[in-house]
Amino acid sequence: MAHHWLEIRIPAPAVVIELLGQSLLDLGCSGINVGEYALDTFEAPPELPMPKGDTVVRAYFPDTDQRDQLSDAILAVLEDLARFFPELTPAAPDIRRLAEEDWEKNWQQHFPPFQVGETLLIRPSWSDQLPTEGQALLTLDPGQAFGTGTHATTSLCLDVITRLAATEAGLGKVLDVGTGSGILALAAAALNAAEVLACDIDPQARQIARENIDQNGLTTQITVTDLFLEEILGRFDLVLANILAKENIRLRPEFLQRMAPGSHLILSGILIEQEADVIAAFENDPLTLESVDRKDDWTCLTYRYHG
Amino acid sequence: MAKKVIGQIKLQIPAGKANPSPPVGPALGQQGVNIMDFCKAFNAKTQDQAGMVTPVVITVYADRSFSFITKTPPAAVLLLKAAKLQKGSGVPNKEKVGKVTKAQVQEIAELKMPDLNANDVEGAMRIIEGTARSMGITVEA
Repeated sequence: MAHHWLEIRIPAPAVVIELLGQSLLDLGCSGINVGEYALDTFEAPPELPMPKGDTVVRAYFPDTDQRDQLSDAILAVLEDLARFFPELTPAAPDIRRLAEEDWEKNWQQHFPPFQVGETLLIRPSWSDQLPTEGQALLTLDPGQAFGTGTHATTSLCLDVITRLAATEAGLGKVLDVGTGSGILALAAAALNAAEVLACDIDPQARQIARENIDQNGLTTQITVTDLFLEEILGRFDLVLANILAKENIRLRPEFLQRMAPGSHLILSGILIEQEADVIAAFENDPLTLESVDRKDDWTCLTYRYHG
Repeated sequence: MAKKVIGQIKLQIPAGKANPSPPVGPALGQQGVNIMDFCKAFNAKTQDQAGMVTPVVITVYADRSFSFITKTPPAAVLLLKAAKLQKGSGVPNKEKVGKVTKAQVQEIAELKMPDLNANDVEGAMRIIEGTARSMGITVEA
C-alpha cells in the first residue's frame, strides 16, 4: 500500500505562524507551507509581505489511523496559542488525505533532453539519450543558477551560437558576460571555441558554472572569472551577453572595447518591446545588425563588429 | 543572466532535515524546481540549528532555476527553549511562567540580528525582551 500523508489546513494570523510551525513540528509535522505566490517581475522582493488577516497554512503529517487524536492535539496547540495571541480563533483543523507521489523524481519531467540545431544535445544527468553522429553532448542539471536552457533568452543564444559555430571562421575566442549556470560558455566550448572566458558577479553562479564545466570535462577550454567586465583585458571573436536590456545598454562601451575586428556580439535577455531601445543605443557604433531572432516575448540581437 | 522571477514559496521546515516529502516535494515539484538540489543546499546551510523550525523563502525563476533565503528560528521559539518551557503564560504580564537571563537574551538577539529591524545588539535585545514580556517570561539581570 502506498504511503500517504495528511494535509492539514489551518487559518492563522501572520503573528502566530512561526510559533505554530514549531508547535506542529513538536507533534510530528514534517513542515508547513505558508504560501505560494505567482510573480512576473525581474526584481522580486527578498520576501513578500504577509497578507493582513488570516493565512491558511498547510501542515503535513504522515498518515495515521489516529486522526482524531491528532486533530485534538492540534486544537489544543491552537487553544494554547490563542491565549497568547487573541487574533487567533482556534477551530478543529481541516484534514485531507494526500497520496504519496514520487516527488524526488517527478520534477525531472520538466527537463527533457533537448537539441540545439543539429550539432548540440543538452541532457540532464539522469537521461541516457545519446548524441547522434557528429553531435556534441553537454550534461547540465537545473539548480541554483539561471541558465537551464528551457527559457527563451537562453535558447535564442544557443541557436545563434550553433549557427556561428557552423561558419568557416568558427567561434574563436569567446567572452560570456553573466554566465549563470555556464550553459552558453559550455555550448561554445563544446562547439569548438578556441577558448572561453566566463564572468559573473554572483559568486554562487560562478561556483555552479565551475561544477558544470568540470562535469563536462571542459576545464581546459573555459575559465570562470570574478573580474568585472570593465577589468577584463583582451579582445574576443564572440561576446555573449544574456543579461537584461538595461544592462546591455549600460555595458555598451565595455562590449565594444573587447571586440576583435570581424567579431560578433550577441545581446539577449531583451523583451520584444525593448528591442527598438537597444537597437537605437547601438546604432551609431561600428556594428552591423546581422540577425534578430525572436521567441515568446524575447529578442536576441546578433551584431558583427567592423571597427 | 536575464533572470525573470515567476514565483515565491514560503515554507517552514526543520533545520538540516529537508527531504522530498511534503511540504517540500509538492510545493517545489509543482514549480519544476530541482528538489534534491534544494534539500542539499538547505540542509548544508541550516545543519547547525538541526531540529529548529526554519522559515525559508524560495524564489523560482522563469527557467525553473531557484534561489532561497533562510531566516533565523522565531524569537518566541528560542525564548521558550531558553526558559525550557513548553507553553507560554495564559495571562502575560500577570502570570510569569518562566525566566531567562540577560545573557540568554543577548545570545538570541545576536542570532536574530539579521532578521530584526535593529541597529545594534542592544536594540535587538530590547525587541527580544519585549517578546519575552508578552509571553510571560521574566528577564533576569
